Amino acid sequence: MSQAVASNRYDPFAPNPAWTKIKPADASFPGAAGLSTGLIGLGVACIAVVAAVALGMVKLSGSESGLKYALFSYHVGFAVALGMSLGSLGVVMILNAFAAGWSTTLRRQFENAAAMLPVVLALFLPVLAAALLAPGKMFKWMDAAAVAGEPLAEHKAPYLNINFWILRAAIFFAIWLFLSWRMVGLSRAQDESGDRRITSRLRAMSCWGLPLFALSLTFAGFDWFKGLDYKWFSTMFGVYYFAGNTLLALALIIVTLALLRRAGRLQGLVTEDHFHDLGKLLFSFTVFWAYVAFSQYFLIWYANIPEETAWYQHRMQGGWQVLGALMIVGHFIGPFLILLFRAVKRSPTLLALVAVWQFLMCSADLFYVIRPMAYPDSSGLEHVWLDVLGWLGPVLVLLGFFARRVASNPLVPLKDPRLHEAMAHKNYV
Amino acid sequence: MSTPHANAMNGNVYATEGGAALYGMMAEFDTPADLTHAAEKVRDAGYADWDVYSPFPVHGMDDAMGNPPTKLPLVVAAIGLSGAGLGMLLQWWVTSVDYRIVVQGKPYDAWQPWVPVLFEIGVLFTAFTALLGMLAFNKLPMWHHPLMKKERFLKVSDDRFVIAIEAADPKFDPQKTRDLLAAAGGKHIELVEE
Amino acid sequence: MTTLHPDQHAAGRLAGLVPDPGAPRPWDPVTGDGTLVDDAYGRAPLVLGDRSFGSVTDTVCGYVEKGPGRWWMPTFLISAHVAALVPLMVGYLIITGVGVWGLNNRIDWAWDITNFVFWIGIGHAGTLISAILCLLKQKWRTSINRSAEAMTIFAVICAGLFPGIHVGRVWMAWMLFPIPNANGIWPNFRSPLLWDVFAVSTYFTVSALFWYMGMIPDFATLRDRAALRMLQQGGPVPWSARLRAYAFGLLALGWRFSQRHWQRYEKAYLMLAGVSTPLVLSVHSIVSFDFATSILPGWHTTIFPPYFVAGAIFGGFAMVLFLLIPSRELFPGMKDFITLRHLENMAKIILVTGMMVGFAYSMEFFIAWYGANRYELDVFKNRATGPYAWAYWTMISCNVISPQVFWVRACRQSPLVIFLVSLAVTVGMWFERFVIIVSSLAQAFLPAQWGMFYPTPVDILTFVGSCGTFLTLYLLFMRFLPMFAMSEIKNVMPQANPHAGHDHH
Repeated sequence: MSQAVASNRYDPFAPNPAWTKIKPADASFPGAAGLSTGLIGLGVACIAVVAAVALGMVKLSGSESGLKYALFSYHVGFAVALGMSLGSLGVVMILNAFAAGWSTTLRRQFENAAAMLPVVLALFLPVLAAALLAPGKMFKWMDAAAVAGEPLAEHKAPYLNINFWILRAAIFFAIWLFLSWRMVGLSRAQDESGDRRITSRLRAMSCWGLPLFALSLTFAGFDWFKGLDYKWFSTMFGVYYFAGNTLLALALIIVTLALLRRAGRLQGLVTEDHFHDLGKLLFSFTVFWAYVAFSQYFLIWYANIPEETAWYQHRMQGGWQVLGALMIVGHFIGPFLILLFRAVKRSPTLLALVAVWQFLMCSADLFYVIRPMAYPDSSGLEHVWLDVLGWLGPVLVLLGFFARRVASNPLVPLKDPRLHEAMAHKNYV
Repeated sequence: MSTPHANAMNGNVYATEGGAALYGMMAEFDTPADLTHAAEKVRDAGYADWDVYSPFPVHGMDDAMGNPPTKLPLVVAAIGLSGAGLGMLLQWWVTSVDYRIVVQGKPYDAWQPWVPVLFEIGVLFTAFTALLGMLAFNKLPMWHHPLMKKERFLKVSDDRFVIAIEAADPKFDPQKTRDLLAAAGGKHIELVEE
Repeated sequence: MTTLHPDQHAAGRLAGLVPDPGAPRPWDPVTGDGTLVDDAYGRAPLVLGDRSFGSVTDTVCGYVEKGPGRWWMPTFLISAHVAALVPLMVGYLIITGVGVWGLNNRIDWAWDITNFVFWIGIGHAGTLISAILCLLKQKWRTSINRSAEAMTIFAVICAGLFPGIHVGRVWMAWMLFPIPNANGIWPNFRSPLLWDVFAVSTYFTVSALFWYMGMIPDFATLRDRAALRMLQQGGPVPWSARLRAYAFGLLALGWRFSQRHWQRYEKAYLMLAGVSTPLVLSVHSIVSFDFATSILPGWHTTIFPPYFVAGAIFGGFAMVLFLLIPSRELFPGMKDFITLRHLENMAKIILVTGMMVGFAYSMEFFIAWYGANRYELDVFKNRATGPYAWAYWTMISCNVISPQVFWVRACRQSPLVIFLVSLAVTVGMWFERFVIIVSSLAQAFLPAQWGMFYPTPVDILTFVGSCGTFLTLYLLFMRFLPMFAMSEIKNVMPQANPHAGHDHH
């Protein structure tokens, strides 16, 4: 191997012997396309039902609570879809910045999920439309009349006003779309050319991209989720949001890879050892999420300052406390104990089951953040089916487009210079 | 110097020419690759009481030797989690039972403030179990060992690689074992006295 | 021996270690050092100088066996004398009372707690390098983990000094622990200060276990070398050699490099790394709880736990670099183990964690405004423009601005620049704690509570003494214990690959 390095050092196009070891059948799965249309259709149908119910209730009874309900349900689904895609973009940039070799064969699926950001932008349009057409239904501060004379709302008006809010959303999407377009596009270009300088470019771009990513993600979390309750604030919220998003991305990719392996693909490319390490990542982000979530809750609980505590107080009664308990037991303790086992991490099937569970828990976590704001005075869980549809709609649409992308691209970076490292990857301890 | 004793299985009594009991036979290798290949040969020959000695853990050696995975993680997890449980119990008993005082108006049985100490005690138990458990499973400390009396063996801690097969192994046979080690590429094959 | 890696060849020749005039041209004429070549296909070598396993052993053991050189004794004597300030100052404090410090009714925590948090923060890099980088499979950690772990332990010793003495009546310190006593009282488990006791003592214990466990194979190597020398020498053996053989033999616990032992050893090491990682996070989080659970403006904010952790890693890495860069110059052959690539990697970590800390500073400011709490906002305005503005801007320039030079490749590859930045960061991190603690207390809710803190000579000399203690302990470590994890370094060398010699790819 040292000889190969010696002779290839200055030829950026020199072939890596590992490239030829990929069998075309292992690295492509056009069959996923069939899934795509169905998922998208189902997702759009869910969204349509939610929209119809909301508008129908407004038309028939003149009550606007249905609209509010529908908007919040959809917002949860949007949050999950955004989380999967944005979290994946973060993972792609982190892997590139770290010059990771072991994960080369996994990176393409994260890239596919990151490439879903245009879909997420489309999914954001209803949220934007609601903000413009029905201000104050979701974000109370957008309704100037409702918060007139409220000192907190007035104080925050320079930041929390609709024009600036839209401008910020545009900036966030501009950053994310640019980063995902370059990260994914360059990686695809390398599939053709095998130019190893692309790897260095991706690395450099990830390094300056990550600070931008961190800031945009934090403020997007503030704007779209923390901002639902304009009175509440927490400096930790961005970190909390990041942890949840990364977990969502990991869960999505683990399930995708496990399904691809089940379909007989990726033989010798994604092995038990890769699942082992993905399992470790899932484990560590579960612990990290718990650490951040607990610290945030705990500091607010301990200091007991009214304007902070109100947010949790609302979630500790009227039925929401069950969800809170589920977050402790189901989102942390259960997966923590299960993922301690090496055998679970090394089995694609078992790990995928845990990942599905964590996906549900992450959704529930976002639900816990978003949904209680629909009814600040009561728990209001009267139309659970609407919540389920609102959650499923955006998620299915995103998964549908994701399946299409998985089907139409090579499953691994075909000419990555570090392919041999991933193919030889082994956990010895 | 102990008296020669019989091999557990075949009943043969092995001793050196000087009459000392035999611990086994050792052979040296130059590189981790040679060592791995030789270990595979010894494993395939069916030996059980033997070991490989290298200045660092050679990757893939457990497969080459056919070592079963260690039980240590189970022990560590059990004791670590119990430690955390004990930490919780201590805090609960102190705070809500034995010495109830109002602090900052917080409930006596609030679980939240117990989390930090619960975690720390769990970690403390885990760490001690990992180190002491590792030593116990390895039967360490053991400051005397027949191999350590061999001058050549002392170079293992520097850059030599050694395979030692014990005379207690049922398949041990002075000639056949020597032939096996030699065929596997072993150098400086010598007997080790008890 | 496999064929020489081209990077090793280039670097070795440039360093004058490989006398080979006919060697090919250096691979990268711009960067020179072969470890800095950035090619995605190959990985830079982690050990330079065309070393064999034996030469690693000889060099590392040589530091212990031959001693570090003439500079060591004077340096040691000076720092030991500085360290002697600690017992003097603490003795004076205990005899007289905490009034000898500059504390007053408004500012009742100042240098004592600043020093505590400063040292405990420095103590985080060691476990970070050993544990987190181990879990992340960053092989370059192998040549810096031992000294960083040692630093951790010494820094925690320095940190442990301050909470003990700041309580005033030191002889009551045993009441911090849950010990059944005649008064029938128990410690208050709802107090962050008690969590500190558990966190810091657990951290010290676990770091020491981790450190010791890592050294067991190296003690065994030193033992075997001492034994071999005694065997080969013949004639009377000097008492010092015999003492060394016995001491290392005792510490090595009879380690004999058996694969069956290695298997459990690696597992145990991984598990220790696994628990040490959340432990590191928890310790500085709990330290941050000391402040964040209160309702004092400037102290109560939810980002404190991860912010303190990032700051600790930041300050700790700065201290690692601050000590390793001079050591690299002083010890012959050390540049083969701590290459420019190692320094560059650490510079990158400084940059990343520096930006995390900057993120937290700005987030605090933003939320101080966004939260619409008058007191909170005023505290932050005061930090930037009030009487402690000089400290605040020192902190910002050292912690946020100075690491930005590492965006430039030439800067993060220059040991001198890295050294200067790490010095700035160390200073900046002390000021960060000072700003958090003192500036918040100095302008609390009522103007009647406002005031300034002025350190007394006792304050200053105690801190100087703690620096001396740290340095003294580190110098003793350099003199008497293996500074590099030999078995781990050997394991990341190309020869260690069991597939070496025949290409599997």
